[in-house]
Amino acid sequence: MSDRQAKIRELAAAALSEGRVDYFIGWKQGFNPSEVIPAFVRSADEVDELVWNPLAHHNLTTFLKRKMPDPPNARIGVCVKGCDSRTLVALLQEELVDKERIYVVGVPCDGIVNRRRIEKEFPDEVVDISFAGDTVTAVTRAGDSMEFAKGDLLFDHCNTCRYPNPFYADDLAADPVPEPEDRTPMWGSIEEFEALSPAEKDAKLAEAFETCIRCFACIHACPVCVCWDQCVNRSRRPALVGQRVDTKENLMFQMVHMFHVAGRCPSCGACDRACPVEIPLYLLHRKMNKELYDMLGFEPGVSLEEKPAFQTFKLDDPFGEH
Amino acid sequence: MAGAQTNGGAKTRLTFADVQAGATTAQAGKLAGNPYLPQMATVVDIVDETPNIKSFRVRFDDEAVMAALSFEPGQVGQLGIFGVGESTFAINSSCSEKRYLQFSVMKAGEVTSALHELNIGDKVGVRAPMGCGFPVDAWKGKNILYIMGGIGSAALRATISYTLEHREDYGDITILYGARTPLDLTYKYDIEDWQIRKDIEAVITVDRDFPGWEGKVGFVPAVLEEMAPNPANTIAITCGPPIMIKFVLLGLQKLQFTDEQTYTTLEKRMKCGIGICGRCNIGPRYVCVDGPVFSMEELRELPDEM
Amino acid sequence: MKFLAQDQLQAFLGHLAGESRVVAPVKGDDGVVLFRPWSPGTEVELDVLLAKQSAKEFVFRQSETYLRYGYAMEGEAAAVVDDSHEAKIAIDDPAELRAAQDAAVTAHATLVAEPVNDAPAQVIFGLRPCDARGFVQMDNVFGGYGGFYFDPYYNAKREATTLIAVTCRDPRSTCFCTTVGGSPDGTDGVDALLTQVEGGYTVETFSEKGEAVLGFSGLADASTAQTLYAETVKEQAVARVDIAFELEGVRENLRANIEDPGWHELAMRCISCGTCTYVCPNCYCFNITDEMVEGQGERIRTWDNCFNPIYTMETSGHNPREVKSNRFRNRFSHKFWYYPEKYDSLLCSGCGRCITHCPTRIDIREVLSVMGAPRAAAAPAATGEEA
Repeated sequence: MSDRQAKIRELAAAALSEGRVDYFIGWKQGFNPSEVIPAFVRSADEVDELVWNPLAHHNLTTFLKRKMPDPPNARIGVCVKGCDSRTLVALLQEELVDKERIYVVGVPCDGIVNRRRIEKEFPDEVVDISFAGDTVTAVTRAGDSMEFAKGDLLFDHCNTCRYPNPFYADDLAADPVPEPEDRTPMWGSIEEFEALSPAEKDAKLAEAFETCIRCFACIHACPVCVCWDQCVNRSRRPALVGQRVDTKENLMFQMVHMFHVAGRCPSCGACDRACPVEIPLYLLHRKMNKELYDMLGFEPGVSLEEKPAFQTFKLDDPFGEH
Repeated sequence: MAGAQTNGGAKTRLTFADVQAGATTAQAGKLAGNPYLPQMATVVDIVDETPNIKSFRVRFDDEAVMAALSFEPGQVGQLGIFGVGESTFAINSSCSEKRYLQFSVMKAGEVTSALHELNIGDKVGVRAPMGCGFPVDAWKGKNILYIMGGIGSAALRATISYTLEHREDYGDITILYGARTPLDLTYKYDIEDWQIRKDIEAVITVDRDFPGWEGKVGFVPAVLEEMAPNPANTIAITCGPPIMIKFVLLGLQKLQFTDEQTYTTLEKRMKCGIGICGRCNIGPRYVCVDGPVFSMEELRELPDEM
Repeated sequence: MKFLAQDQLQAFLGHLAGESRVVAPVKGDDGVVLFRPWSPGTEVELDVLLAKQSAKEFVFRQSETYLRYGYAMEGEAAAVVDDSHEAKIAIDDPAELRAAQDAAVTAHATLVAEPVNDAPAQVIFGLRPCDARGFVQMDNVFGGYGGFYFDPYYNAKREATTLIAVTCRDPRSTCFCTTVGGSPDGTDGVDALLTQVEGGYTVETFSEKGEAVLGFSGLADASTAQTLYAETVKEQAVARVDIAFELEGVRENLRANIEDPGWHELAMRCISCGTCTYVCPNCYCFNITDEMVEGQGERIRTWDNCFNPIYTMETSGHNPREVKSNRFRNRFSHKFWYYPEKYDSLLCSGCGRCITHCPTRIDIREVLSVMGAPRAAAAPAATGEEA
C-alpha cells in the first residue's frame, strides 16, 4: 500500500513538473488521521500530501464532469481505482470528458473499508484509523481503541468487485492485483431484497426514504450525473418530482435518478457514501444493473468501444436470451 | 421610511423605531397580518403592450384594502396565480392612480406564461407594496435623466409619472427610451404624451431601421453618448436588459456622472419578497427589501453578483 | 438546581409527553441517530454527541403548507365528457358542441384560499446547546428583528416549542462552539439544561417554559456534590473545545477578500450539493412553490440551499452564481458577514455537522481561517511592487 502511495506521488510530481497537467487529483488526509478526502495538487512540491490507503473511497472522476474543472479548460491528472476507471470509461463512452485533457493514474485496489461501520462501534468520536497488513486499528478521542479484520469492513460493492484493476489508465501505480477468473457480476445481497413480498419491499423502501432530506448529495457525488442546472429532479416544467419532501416524493426522486443513470452506473457506491442519513441507495442501482445485465448482457463502463446500453440500439439485442 | 404598509394598511413590518421602543417579536406578530398571504384581486383590464408584454390592471377585492393602498414610486409587488406561483413586478401605475395597480409582464417562464392566459375578471393574488422606492423627495430641485430599454420602462414608469405630476419640483426631465423594434416599445400611450409635452425632452429610439419608423435609430448606450447629457445637478436612472445597463453605466461614467448620481433598479430570482427566504441577496443586501432600487454607490460595495 | 435520576428519565419524558409531543435523539436499526418522536419505552441516545440532523425541522419544517386553495366551477358547466367517458351531448353536432365549449369557458371558477398554520405543543429533548443556539439565530430572521417582516409560521411553532438541552460532556474534535461565542454548556435559547452526573442529570431552568418542566414529581434537589460534579463536567467540556480561528475581524476580512482567488482553491472538492445547509441548525433559506393537482393545491415552502445550481437562476437564463466557487463563497459570507451585518449575530453555532457530513469534508474552520483572515495580496505595496 505504501508502494502505491509512493508511486502516486512520483507520477503526480512528474505530471506537474513536466507541465502535463494544471492540477492533479488524488486523496489526502482530512481533518484527522481517520479521514481521507480528495486532494487537489497544483505543484510538484505539494505531492507529499497525497496518500493511498483503504479509506480512499472517493470516486475522483466526479471532478472531471461538466462544470467541475476550475478553470473550465484545465488539464487534469486524476487517480482512479477499478470502479472509478469504469466510471471514467462510461463518461468517455458518452464523450462527457475530453480524453485529451486528462492524465489517468490507475491504482489497483484491494478493497475500501466502510468508515461508518467503524464509527458505529463507538459512541465517542473516532480520530485515528491505521492499517497494518489486514488489521485495521481505530482509536477514539478518549483513547479507546479497537482492532478489526479488514475483510469485515469492506464495502458491499468491494466484496462483489469484478474489476479491481483499472483498465483505463495512462500509468499504473502498482502491478495489477489478482483478478477474478470469472467476470460474471455478483449481485451481493440483492437476492435478499428480491425475495421479499411486494408489501415488504414497499415497507422497506418507505422506511429507507422516510429520512431522505433531498440534499442532492447522491446526485452531485455521482460521477455520471452531469445535468446540474438542467436536472429534471429540480425542474418545474416538467415537474416529475414536487418540491414537497415526503416519503413518496423522495422515492420518486431516487427513481428518476436511478433511471437516468441506468446503463451508465458503474457500481462505484459514491451515492451510498455521500448520503448524510445513510440511506442504502446503492441497492436500487445494483438492482437496475442486474436487470440490465440479465436483459442485455451489458455492464456499464467496461469497454471504451461500447456505447451505454440506452444510447444505442442493436437488432440483435438479446432481451434476456443470452 | 414610508412603505411600511403592506396588504391594505395592516402593519406587517416591525420598524427599527418599534424595536428601539422595546417591541418584541411576539408583539410584532400580534400587529401583523401574514406577509406571505396574498390579497385577492381581480383583473379589471389588460393592455397588450407588445407581442410578448401585457399590462395587467388589478383591483383588490376588499374595498378597504384598495382604498388604503399607498406606495412609493419604484416599489414592487408580487403578482401571482394560485396553483402556479408568484413573480415580482414593479408597480407601474401612477402613485396617484387609485382605481387599480398596474403590473407589466413579459411572457418568459412558468408564472409569466400563466399570467398571459388571464382574462378580465380572473382572480389573482397580490402582495404589495414591497421594497424601497426611488428617493424622489431627495431629488427635488434636480434634473432627472431616465434611460430605459425594453421592459425596463416598467420599472421606471411610476417614477416618471410621479416626477411629471410634480413637474415644478424638478429641473430638466429627459427620457431616453429604446427597444429592439417599434413593436417592442411599451406604453405607447405615454410616449405620445411625452412627445407632445413641451416641458420635458423625450428621445425614443429603436435598435435598427424598421419599416415605417421615422424616429431615431441606435442602441440606447450609443444614443446616450450622442446626447452627451450634462451631469451637473442631474440624477441618472437606468433600467433595461443587463447588457444595456452595463454599457449605459459605462457611458454615464465616461460622461462624468458620479456613483451617487446614478441609480438603477435590479431584478433577481425572488420568492418571499420580504427579506426572509435568503435567495435574492447581492452580498449583504436583499434586492427585495434593501432594493430593488440601488444607487451605483451602494452597488460598488457589493460582490459582483449581478 | 434539581436532580433527575437516570432511572427516572423515561418517566420524565412521559410527564412531558402528557402535554406535548416529545422528540428526542433515537438510534435507528441502522445505527443512525436522528431526532424522532418519542413514545414510552423508546430509548433516548445521549452518548452519541450529535444526532445526524439538527432539530430545526421541528420548528422550521422542511416542507410546510402556507395555504390551501381550490378552484370550483360555479354554475352549471356542461361537461362534454363525464367520468363514464360517455359523451353527455351529441359531439357530432357542431352547434351543440360549440355551445358546450362556450359554457365551459365562461363559467366562473371561484377560488377559495385558506391559510394553514398548525403549531402543536412540543418538547425537543436531548439537543445540544449549539442546536438550541441555532434557533436563536434563526429567530432574528423570522422574528422581524431590525425592521423586517414577521413570519407567523415559524413563530407559531417556535412559541409552542420547549428546548431541553443536554450539556456536551464529550465534545468532538469538530466542535468549535467556543470559537463563535457559544459553549458546550451554553444556555442561549435553552429552556432547561441537563448535565450528566453520576447516577443521572442535574437540571437547570432558564425560562418560563423551562420552569414548567419542574412540575415533574420525580425531580429532587441537587446535592452539593452533584452541583459540583456538574460544574466540573462543564469546565472539562469547555476545555476540550479548541479555538479554531480568530473571529475578530472576520466580517471585514471576508469583505476585503471577496474577489480573492483563494475561494476557488477552497471550493475545489466541493460538489455543490447542499448537505451542509440541510444538516446545519441555522441555515434557513427556502423556496416557495405551488403544488396543484386538478384544481386543488397548496402553496408550500421547502428548504432550499445556495449550493443549488439553479438557486439564483433567472427566467432569462442569466445566473449570477453560475460558478461553483461563487456559490461556495456565498454560504460562508452569509453566515459570517451578510447575516451579522443585518442582525448583529453570527449565523453559525459551531456544531461541526457540516464538516462531518460533507461528502468531501469541506471544513468551515479551514475556510474561515483562510478567507476570514487578512490575505497577503490584499493591498498593493507602496513601492508599486506586486504584492
